Amino acid sequence: MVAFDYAPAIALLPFASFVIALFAGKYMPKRGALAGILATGGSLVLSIWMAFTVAGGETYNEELYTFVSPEAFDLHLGILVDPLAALMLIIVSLVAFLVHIFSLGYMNDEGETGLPRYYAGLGLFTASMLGFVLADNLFMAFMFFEMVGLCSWLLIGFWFRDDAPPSAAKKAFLVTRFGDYFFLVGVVGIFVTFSTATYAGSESFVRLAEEALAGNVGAVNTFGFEPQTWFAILGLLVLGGVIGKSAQFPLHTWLPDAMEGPTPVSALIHAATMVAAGVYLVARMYGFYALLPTVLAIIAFIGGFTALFAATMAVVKREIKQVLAYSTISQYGYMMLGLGVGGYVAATFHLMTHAFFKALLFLGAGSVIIAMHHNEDMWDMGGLKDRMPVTYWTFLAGSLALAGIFPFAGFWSKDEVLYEALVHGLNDPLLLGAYAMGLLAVLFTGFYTFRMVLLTFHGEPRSETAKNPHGVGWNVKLPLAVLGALAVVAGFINMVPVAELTGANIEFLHKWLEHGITGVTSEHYGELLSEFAGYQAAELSPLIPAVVSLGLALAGAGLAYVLYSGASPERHTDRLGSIKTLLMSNYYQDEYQVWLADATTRVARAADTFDQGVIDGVVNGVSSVSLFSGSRIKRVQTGVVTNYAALLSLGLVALLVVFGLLGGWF
Amino acid sequence: MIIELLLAFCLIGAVVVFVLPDEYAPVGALTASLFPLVTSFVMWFGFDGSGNAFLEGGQLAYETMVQWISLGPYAINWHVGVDGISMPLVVLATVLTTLAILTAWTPIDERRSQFYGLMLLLEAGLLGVFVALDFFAWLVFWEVVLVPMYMLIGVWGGPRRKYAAVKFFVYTNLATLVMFLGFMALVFGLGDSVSTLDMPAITQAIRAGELGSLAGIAPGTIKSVAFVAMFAGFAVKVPIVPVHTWLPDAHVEAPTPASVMLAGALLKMGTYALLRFNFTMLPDVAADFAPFIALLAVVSVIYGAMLALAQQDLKRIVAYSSISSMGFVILGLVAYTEYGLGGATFQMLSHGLLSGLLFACVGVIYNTTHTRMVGDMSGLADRMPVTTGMFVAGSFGYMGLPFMAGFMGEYFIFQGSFAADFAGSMVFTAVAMFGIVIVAGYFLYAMQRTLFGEYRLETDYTVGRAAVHDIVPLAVLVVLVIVLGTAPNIFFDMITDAVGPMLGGGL
Repeated sequence: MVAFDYAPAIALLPFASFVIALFAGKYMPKRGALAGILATGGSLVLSIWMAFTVAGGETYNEELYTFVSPEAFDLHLGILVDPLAALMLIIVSLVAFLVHIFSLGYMNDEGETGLPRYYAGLGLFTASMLGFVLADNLFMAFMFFEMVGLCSWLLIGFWFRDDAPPSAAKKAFLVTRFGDYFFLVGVVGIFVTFSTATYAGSESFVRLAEEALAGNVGAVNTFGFEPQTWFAILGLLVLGGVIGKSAQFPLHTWLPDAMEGPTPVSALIHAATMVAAGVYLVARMYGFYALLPTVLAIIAFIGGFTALFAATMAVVKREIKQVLAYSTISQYGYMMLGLGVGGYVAATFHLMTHAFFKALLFLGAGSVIIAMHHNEDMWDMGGLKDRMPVTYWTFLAGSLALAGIFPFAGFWSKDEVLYEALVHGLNDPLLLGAYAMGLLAVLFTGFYTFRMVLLTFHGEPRSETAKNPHGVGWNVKLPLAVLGALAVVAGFINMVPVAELTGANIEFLHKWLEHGITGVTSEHYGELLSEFAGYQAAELSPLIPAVVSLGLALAGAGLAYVLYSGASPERHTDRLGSIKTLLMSNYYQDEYQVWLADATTRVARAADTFDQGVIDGVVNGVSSVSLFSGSRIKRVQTGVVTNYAALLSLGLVALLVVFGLLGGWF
Repeated sequence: MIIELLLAFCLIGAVVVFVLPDEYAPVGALTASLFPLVTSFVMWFGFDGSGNAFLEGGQLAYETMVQWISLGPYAINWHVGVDGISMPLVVLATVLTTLAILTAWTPIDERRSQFYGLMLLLEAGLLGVFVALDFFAWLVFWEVVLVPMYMLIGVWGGPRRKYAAVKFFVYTNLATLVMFLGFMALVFGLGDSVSTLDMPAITQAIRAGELGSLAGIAPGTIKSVAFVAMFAGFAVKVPIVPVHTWLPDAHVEAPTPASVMLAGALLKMGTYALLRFNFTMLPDVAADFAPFIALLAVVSVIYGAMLALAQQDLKRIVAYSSISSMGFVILGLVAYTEYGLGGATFQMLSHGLLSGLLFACVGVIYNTTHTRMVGDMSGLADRMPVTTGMFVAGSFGYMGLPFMAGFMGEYFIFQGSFAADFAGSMVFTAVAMFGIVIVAGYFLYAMQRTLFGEYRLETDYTVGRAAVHDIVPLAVLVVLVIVLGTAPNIFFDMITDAVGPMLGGGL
């Protein structure tokens, strides 16, 4: 199929823009922005072409480039384009494209320096993520996973002259690297177990695992473990990387700090690239996780807990980007919850809608930040509604989607995640617990979202800048408009409750993910879930749970409205007292991680003292004990090369004579 | 004859540069180093060897074998040649020498002709170690390397150069003695079954089980004792914890070019020798000791990385991280699988390039700031943007960023050792792999403190952009690291071809 011949170009185009911006950016009119826009636009067009081709029933699963091919197994780059990948390609390239356009307003128009570096970073970031999405095997996925980490470091630390951004960049890379360590062990383990790490096809590790659990252990080496146990270990190891990149508890701490980066970068990181990578990985190898009920339960529980945990912290934040950061953590918790409870389609759906509305919210926040002359404190804002209507209305659409209010995009996807959690949870109390946390988080989400909207846009302006905000140009408004429209309509592709109610055949995303390569379709995952994980869905109309979660979201939003809708709202969260302190301090999660890092450094210093004192002390002791040889050595140090050469030759001759005598030459 | 030509170019170059007037020495040395560089590339492109040089069926490339000295029952031959393991190391040595000579242009300003002459002599010794197949010649080259390195540290080094140079010299020389005794035990144990000091012949005889008893000691014991002695001797060179303490002192005092050569090429002599002697000649003993060796490797990786974490001197950070990286090589060797041995050899290359790159970067920073202490400077990125870019690239390469050589080398090793045959290989590997987190910790910390933040410098110098000839070696190394990380097969193919036969018997 000719379309797929161009699949590598989807990732290579942004890579080319990285190279162009890096080496030629400073000579170009927009410092590399145009190259980036063209490249990501090209990727978007190609991705759409891929999607149409996939819709025609075609898929693609080929090796492209082999790094090394020893006897055991080879390591290669390859491309897998199926419905899931095609969908994700469109999401990533669309968001990247819009972020590039927005950057014209946020970076170029604001007179930033170092723009070639910025656009090079964006290009490489997009290329890495697209490479990750296209990957046909876990090794390649890991490589691009790490490249994504590098790009986050480059971009979070973009303003390197200040102290905070480089520190945040370091934290982001280090925390995710900690997770990636487990991922890497998992990749290595999967190779030695299956001798392959490809996702799809009859020789893929996913399929081999399935066969091994079905009793055909043949080609699989489980090192003496029960296959179920060993696969669960491998699954958990890979999950380590997911938890790091997708900012799940307890490795979520890097993400709020990552707000130090430019806002368009935050949009990219949160909506489409880095954070999405983790969840996408679980979806990509879902055929493997669907075999492992224990791991699924852990995923669900981490997801549900993170959704709630992060949502509570978002309630008290002062800065608009901080609220959004915690909402990201919380929303990815929902996706993990969906995947854990067997809602593969629901989680993918939420990944998509979230990408649109979270990109929208970040870019909207970016627009506000431009207007506020880079002041991010919501208590200095207020009343921006009338002064920046485009931003307000699009931001509002994104907020309604985030809070899960009917009929915005987030409502449909979040509701489906919760529905899946409930119907599977009715047969499994552990999943029901995860569901309960996810459901409770809806209340908090509604509250913090509208607290943010009300503080930012409503009431009276609370500072001089808020009275006379800086205007924003078309390059800010256009991306907002596109994403705003998507935040309204994206949910319509998969209206499960409506389909149930009317019997209409409108669950398009379910249809979309049902076809594809044998063994990597949602249909097959459903079979695996019931056969291997023992997941049984209870009979339940989707209507009642939908009404419950909508009611909670509205309750949260209503509470926010009651508390913050006045002309000059009070700081109601102060009434929480010590709970507020706890939430503002993020449950002291940063503190214990900093403490761990400090403790490691202290151990390192102790090791250094030990090394210099004991190990090197012994060495020096030995040399000074033999004073005789010591003084000899001092005399040897004449600094004349010939002396050394002579000594060496003499030594060699002496040795030769010795072994000549021993060996009986003479 | 091309190998003789390669060595002759270095030696003639060394002599010519030695007598050149000082002002011509830098350019002269650079020119002289291009001859062996080009020769090594010609060798590489025309490489037609196959199999392992030390084992049966190995087809050497560019082999020369002439009788040289005849003493008693032992003939000493001039036997040189390269196989898939030594060929990449030869290229590494010539590339690094040329680049190291360029890094010397700025900092070395006295006794220049002597300095550059010694660099070329060092190159000759290094190349000799990688190409020699007769023990006598090999040992001569092995020892020849010490002299120029000793002088480079002792004459052009920092304030404690005498101490560091003597420590380096005595420590490694004692180690050589221990190794020598171990090897000789094997030779005598073989008795009449070998009549030369030819290393391939000796290897094949040992693997064929022709080792007899010596002075009433059983062959098994001789093998074990010889293995331990040789391992101890080579461990100093690598270095493996706990015999590593000469390394940071030597690096801190050594001038930049010497550090580049020391970390980039000299350390590889140790792992190369371990691979050739211990792991090729005595694979069964290696298998017996495997868990113990793996433990040493893991300790080197983690302990070395922890020491690097505690340092404030940029050069010490890179020096200690070398101990950590070389620990990975040991882990790959002891794994004794295709990925393990191949990865170990590949890691020698990648570490050679990456440590050379980082030492060169630190050198460029030191040239302009006159300090290497992390706390003495910050915010250099604005003033030295290109150097900063290179330092960032090198650091991430060292941290194992994909598409760079370090990732490939380390990944091969992990892949090879995870399911190796010795007990606990999985646990050893998983623990060693944690090194990739610690290494990220100290490099990110060092970069954040020195390159970023507000500009500040505690010394009385003005920081400006580095000269082009300072940047060139950095840029070349970055490109090579990326090429090797993207197309590892340009060497990995020949490496696996050469390590393959090692797996045939013994284990």
